[in-house]
Amino acid sequence: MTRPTILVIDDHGGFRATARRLLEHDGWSVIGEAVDGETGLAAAASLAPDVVLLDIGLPDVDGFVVAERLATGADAPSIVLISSRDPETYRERVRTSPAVAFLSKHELDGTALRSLLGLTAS
Amino acid sequence: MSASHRRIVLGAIGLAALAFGPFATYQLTRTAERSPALLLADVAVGWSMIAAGLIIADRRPGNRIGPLAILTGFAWFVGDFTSSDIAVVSYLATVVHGWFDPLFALVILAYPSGRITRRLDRALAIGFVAVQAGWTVVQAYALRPIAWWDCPTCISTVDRWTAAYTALDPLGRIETFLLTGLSIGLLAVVVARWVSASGAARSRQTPVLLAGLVLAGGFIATFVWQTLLPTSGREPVGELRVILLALLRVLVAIALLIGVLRDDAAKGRIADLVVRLDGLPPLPLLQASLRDALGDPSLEVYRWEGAMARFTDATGRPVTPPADGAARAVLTIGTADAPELVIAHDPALRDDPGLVSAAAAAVRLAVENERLQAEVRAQLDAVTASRARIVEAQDDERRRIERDLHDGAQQRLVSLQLSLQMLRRDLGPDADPAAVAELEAASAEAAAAIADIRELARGVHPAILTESGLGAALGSLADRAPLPVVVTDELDRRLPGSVEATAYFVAAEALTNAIKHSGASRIDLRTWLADDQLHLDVSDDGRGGADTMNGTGLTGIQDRVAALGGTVRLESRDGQGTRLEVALPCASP
Repeated sequence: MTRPTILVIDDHGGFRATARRLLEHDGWSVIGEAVDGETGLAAAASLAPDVVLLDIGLPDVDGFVVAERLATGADAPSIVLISSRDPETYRERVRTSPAVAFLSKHELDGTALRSLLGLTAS
Repeated sequence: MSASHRRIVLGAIGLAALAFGPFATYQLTRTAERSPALLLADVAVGWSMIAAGLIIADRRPGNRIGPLAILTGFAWFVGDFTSSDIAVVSYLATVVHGWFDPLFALVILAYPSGRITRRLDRALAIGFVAVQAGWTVVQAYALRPIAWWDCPTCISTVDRWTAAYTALDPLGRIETFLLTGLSIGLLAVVVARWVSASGAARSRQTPVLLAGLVLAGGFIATFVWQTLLPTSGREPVGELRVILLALLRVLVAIALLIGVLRDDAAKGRIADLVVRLDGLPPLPLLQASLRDALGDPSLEVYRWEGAMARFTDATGRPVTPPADGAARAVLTIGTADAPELVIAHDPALRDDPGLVSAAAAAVRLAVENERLQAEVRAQLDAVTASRARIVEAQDDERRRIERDLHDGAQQRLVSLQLSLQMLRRDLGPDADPAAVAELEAASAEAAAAIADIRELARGVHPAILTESGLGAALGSLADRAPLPVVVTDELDRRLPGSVEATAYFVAAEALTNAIKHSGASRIDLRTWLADDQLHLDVSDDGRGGADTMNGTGLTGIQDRVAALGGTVRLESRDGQGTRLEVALPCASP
């Protein structure tokens, strides 16, 4: 079975590197990384990942805005919002966004993410 | 003499006049039939002069018109004693009673200050006194009684006096002629004064114009009657004319009194002016007030427009104020280098320097008040603005610290946590259980550190406020509260950061207080916008009795709210819960 593909959009290089190793280990194929909203959107358009791991606090565009724009395409990826902040901080905004889930960054776990999205293990 | 002593003396004189007047008038009935109207008019003339003199002496102790008028009034009554049936009394009265008119002339000349300063006025005054003194001496000698105890109705006395009167007639005509001339001179002086005066000064001169006319009119009539009409045509002066003349004299006395006391009325108007100038009114109003207070309809006020470096008048037109001189008297408020107002008035008001300087002082006070108020307002504005800036700076600083915590330590801990997770995966399923346990302990420690930093950051500045707005932040507060908190958030837009932060701080503080002290079972939190103000109500169903002065929590709330120019209202009656109402101005950002 093919690994599900994922695009990581986060401005923090250390996090991206660790997340890539963790996700690859947990059976994901990290097909791209982006450091801000605009390059993230471009990467998503060209790479067409199954899932986008999207940081809320991006340097250029707010993660919620990026999520709205990602969700407009016909073949839109599943969006998972991540933040090192307490999910409480975003409350309604997470609920009303097209994202399917919110994760605290330190709780990132590829296996849990797959089951959350209903993707079978490899 | 002290005021109370003066009052006693004046009172005694007044009582004496009350008794002496009717007694003197009664003398008129001793030798002839008199109508009650004439007697009444006679007593009224003396009393009105004395009363006017007493009031002036009381209110204007330094003014000689007071004593002069009293003397004039008594001289009037002395005239009545010429009709006495006691020879010596009749004789003395005849000699002295002529002083009424010269004294009256002195009153006119001394009006209104009580001093006779001009040369012509002095000459007239000396003339009146000299003629009357001479005539007194002549009469005293010519009419001297044969014996002090003579019976006035005895044939010998009557014969002698009739002879003496006849012998005196030519001299009497000269005396009347001289006094008539003097009174015409006096009338001319008074008319000239009235004509040359204008505005306020002219109305002050009106009483003496009237008095001068009455005095001169009386003399001229006597002169015509005595000198020009043939002796055979002499008719006794009609009673009606006597009464009319008496009424005129009463009027004159009242007019003189009002004239001298007008300073009092002027002082009252100055007092009104001071009250009206509580805060410098606009120029047209100031000008109208000053015209009113000084009784000078020609008065003009000019304001110095510093920015334009020119004067404007009450209509706002740029003008050059007149120079101080014969045409206009000019007064500058402020310094010569930095004039604020210029007042140009009728030069006649220079006669009353006290009045003008009192009005000027009132205006100066108003100008100074205005300047001080503007200064205080400016200072208050500066302090208010700086207080708001301090609160804003504090909020900004807290926001920055929160962001630093989030971007720095928090991110590193997150990376650490993920690395530990990765390590756990790398160890694989067959790893040493001790190592795995150690790793999991480290991971738990990292998770706890992340939670601690989140809590710390929220205490410094709740990120939810910046990220999600006041409504969400209040909802988060409610969720963490240990008792039901119902949030009704009616805000439809984000508000300036300092307003949101203050409202959040107030709500958090009020919730803490309610939870700690009120024993409430439910708290309601409501926010809405009205009239560009954010309203926040926090009410509970607890025991009430909270006091604004009690507890630093409420003081802190008041300080924060006041810094943004908002208001706090606390309603907390015993047993009826507590309701805190806060309004914060928040013009659209």
